[in-house]
Amino acid sequence: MRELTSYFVFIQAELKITLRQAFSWITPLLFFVIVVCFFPLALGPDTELLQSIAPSIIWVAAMLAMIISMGSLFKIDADDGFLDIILLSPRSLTMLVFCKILSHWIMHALPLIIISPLLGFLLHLGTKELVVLMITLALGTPVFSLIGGVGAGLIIGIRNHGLLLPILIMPFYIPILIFGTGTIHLAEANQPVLAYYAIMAAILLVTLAFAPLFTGMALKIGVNQ
Amino acid sequence: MLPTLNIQNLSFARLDRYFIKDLNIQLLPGEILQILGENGSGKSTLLRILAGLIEPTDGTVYWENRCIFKNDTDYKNVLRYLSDRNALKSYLTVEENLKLVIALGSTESNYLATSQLCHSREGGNPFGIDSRLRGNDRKEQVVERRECNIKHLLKKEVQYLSLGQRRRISFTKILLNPGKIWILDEPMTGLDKKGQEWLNTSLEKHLNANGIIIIATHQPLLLKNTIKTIQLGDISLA
Repeated sequence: MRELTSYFVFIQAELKITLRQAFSWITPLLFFVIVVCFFPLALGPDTELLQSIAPSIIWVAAMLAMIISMGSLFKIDADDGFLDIILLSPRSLTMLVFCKILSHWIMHALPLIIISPLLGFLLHLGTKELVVLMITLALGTPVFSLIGGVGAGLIIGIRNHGLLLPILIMPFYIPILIFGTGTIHLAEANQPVLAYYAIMAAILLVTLAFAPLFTGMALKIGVNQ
Repeated sequence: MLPTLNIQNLSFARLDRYFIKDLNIQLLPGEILQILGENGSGKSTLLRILAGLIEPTDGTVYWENRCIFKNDTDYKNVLRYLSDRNALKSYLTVEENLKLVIALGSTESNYLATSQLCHSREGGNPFGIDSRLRGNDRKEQVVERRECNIKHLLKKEVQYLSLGQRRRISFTKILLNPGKIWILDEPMTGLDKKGQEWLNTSLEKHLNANGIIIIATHQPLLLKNTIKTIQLGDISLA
């Protein structure tokens, strides 16, 4: 079987597994929707206030929703022994890890991006800001998945790790969170946002280059625990 | 020179306790090593070390004079590891699981390892599979074999299968592309009498085709070949 076809089969299998256990991708999505919906209920119908804090609410909710799902990235594979197959495969471990993270992003982040305009509309964001919101989430959520992958790999050998994963990865989420929300605020102020997009894309590319490699190394260390 | 698996001065300690101490064994083609020991004596850990998944505290393992922990691609191509947890995805069907295993293991070097084994003594595949077949064609031929007895399960999700059926499928994954070295952790768990016979026959075929087997099992092995054994806890080579 050709190299690329093999990775495609792997991604396809990962997507099927997630689709068939609906709770695993619906839970973070519901969490995202519920958290964002609670803010207008708690703050009242103050349009200006909601508009000004909307980017932060949506971004923080998206970040937390993704952290919820990160814990299970390699845990199920470790529990059912499939992680051994991945580690013993003659295929590139870095590429296999990348495929896993990509399927995780498709199933756990893409629904958040798709539904985000609706939630932004609820928080009185304008059309232009909604587009910016979607673009920033599209650039930022892969970084969450990639960094989360390294953390999920490191904790694989630790039983009862509790909140270790969020503590481990959240500090690395700060830059993308700042630029993500900052870009929408700039759009609200009618300022050019291209430079912020470029910075976010740069962060994504750097993470993309190193995170799968580090995740593979983390997994090897993790199974040694 | 014959390809050998050389275990040299292997020790493994955890929490100030040695599970394995100064283990030295050489396995030649056609040889089987059975690991015995009580529950918790470190059988699975030893198998994971020999598979290259865990690094030992001391000592090392060589395959064809190369350390398996340093240059592991060659070793990965010849190794087939069956863990105690089946490594099957519960939400995929049996067919999808087999397809996934093919995708992850089907490099040309990986098939070559099997071809070298198969033609070494008998001049044909010991499991009746056409060595020229690749990927899904090979899968079709393997599942067609009556002794595998999994054809009727292909469309079922693994979560609905019994322990024995899962074990049978796990072992079939090895037969898809048998490689040279089998490391098997309790392969007979859950298998019925027919299943155990099938497994014993497969082990014998693999040994007769110059394969190497390392197995941890509490069940008796019904093989004509000489079985090397080690007892963990009290390490001695029989």
